[in-house]
Amino acid sequence: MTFWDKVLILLLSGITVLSFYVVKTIFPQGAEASIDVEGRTIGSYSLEEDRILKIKGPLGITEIEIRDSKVRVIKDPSRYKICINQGWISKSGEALICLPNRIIVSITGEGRYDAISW
Amino acid sequence: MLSAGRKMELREMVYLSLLSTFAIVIHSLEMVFPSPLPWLRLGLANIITLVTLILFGLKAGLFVTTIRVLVGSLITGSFLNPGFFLSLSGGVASTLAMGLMISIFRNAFSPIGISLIGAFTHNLTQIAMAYIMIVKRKEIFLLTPVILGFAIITGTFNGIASSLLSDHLRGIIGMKSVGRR
Amino acid sequence: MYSELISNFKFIIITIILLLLSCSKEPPIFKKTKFLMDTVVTVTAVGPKEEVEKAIDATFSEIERLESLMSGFRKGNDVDRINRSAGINPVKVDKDVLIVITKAIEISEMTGGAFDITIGPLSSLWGFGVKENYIPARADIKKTLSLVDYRKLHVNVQKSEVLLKEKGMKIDLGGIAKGYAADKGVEVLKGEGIKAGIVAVAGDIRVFGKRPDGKPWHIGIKHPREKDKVLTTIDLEDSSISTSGDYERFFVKGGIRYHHIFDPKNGLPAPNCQSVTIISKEGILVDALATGVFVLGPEKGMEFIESNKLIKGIIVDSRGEVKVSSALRSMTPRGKIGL
Repeated sequence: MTFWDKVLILLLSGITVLSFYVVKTIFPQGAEASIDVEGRTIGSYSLEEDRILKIKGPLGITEIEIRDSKVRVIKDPSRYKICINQGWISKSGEALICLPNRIIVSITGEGRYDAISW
Repeated sequence: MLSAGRKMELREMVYLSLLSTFAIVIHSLEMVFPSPLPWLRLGLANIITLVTLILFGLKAGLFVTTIRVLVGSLITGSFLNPGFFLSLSGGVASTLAMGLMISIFRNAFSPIGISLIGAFTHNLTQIAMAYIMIVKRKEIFLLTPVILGFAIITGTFNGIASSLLSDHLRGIIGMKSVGRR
Repeated sequence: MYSELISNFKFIIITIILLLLSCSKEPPIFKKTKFLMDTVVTVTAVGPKEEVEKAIDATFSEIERLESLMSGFRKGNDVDRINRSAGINPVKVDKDVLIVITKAIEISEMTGGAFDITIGPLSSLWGFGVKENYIPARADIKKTLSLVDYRKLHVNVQKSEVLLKEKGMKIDLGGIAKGYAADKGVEVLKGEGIKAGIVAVAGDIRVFGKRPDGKPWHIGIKHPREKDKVLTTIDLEDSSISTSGDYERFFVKGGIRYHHIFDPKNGLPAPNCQSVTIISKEGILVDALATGVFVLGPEKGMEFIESNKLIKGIIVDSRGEVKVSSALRSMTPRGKIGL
């Protein structure tokens, strides 16, 4: 490994860490679960209301649960069940990506606040 | 009797065919193996691409990559699928980036550095293409830190493998490499 | 060659560890809530856990101290003594009480008496929270109104003395003490070395510094009619925000909404706004002005806000129409304010 290799590794690591913060900044916190099927938003659901949604994708039905202001996938027809293993998400910018079934559940909206004036 | 030049060309063609075959096999095997995210692969076929770049130059590298994606997708039945275009764009972009690295920086970087650039280019191109062609939602870029971190690991690993492999092959082929002098 | 390989691996592993470490090093943010000042006080602070916890506890004890000085329900505290010595003799008070009363008189003058801490007798007459859905007789209101006048409240700063000129007069710091508590809370946090945080005494909020992600604090403003909804959010750093609304304490009788924000001129609930939000530097100012502007009503209130460069505001009038002061329009980044 040359000197410049090491410089490059450090540089790319830096970019990776930076991208983490950039992504966090670009996707602020929110309070709605937005559901996409094959690149089309089919609806947004408030996190305030507990419910189970059954969404049809090309492979079959993906079941999404909203409870206590959190969202998770409970059933998915994909082979590796990655989006089920992701568990709960609650912050805006987080997303459950069930790519095999072309479904993305992402949390959006202008929802969360640091404080509320009333 | 072949002239020295013709002999060289023929030898090169034979080696490129062999390298392409390896690349196709690796590519196809990888498509079958599970991955934590679709299209996010170890990119072991990039080892062959990089070796080709080092030993035979940019044109040869592009040739091997294109053949690999075309034939590989025909074998796995993903030809002209979205996944095919992701593989093609990622492969071509990373081959170009690595080829440019070799020709611009010569010996400043070992295959590890070159492979890292390749992995970064590959993954970034794929996520951009996935956004444009398939997902069409900006949330896909939430994966950026993950795929970049992944690129560092796979890039380094493939770089080390390429380094060992190209050193080995250089002895067998007995020819001057294009990249490393 | 293998030793080279090993040294390469070492370097790579160290890099990966550093990478993981830097990812986990998100600057922490802590939040604690306590029931104080007859309401909920939430203190948020950014920093290392131990430091922040100590600072938050210090903030709570400062607010507790202010509560004991200014609460209207503590026998023998400064407010109680001022009220019981009304028309008799001046009362020596704590420095903080003196500051709050002085500021209250200043704001009464600014708003032409729309905000007035001598509203005490009127509040008692209506008895929100004590009597049930009680509407006082006109004559009683009229009689009580003679006891409501900030000009009959005298402060002697040199001697730290306060005097209510007439017997039966009462001060009520409920409309200003929470904002002051937010100010003092922030002062304590800063004194403890905290660089960023929020002190929210009910809806009277003072923020300083920035969020850990480098962005301003996101503050929601409650929707005056839809429960659990937010009218809009505003990004703030180093400022205070307060909202007064007719939805806090109210009852409806004969189709009329009676709420706890009274007009000192006629002794009735101020009818022309649903809510008023004021943003400025100091918590004490925004707390009192939110009430004052509410009483002034949408037209005069907005005029007042626009006339003062240091104040920004949002008024929701009685029909639910939202008016935003010109200086604020550029500050609501998440699009338009709407119902």
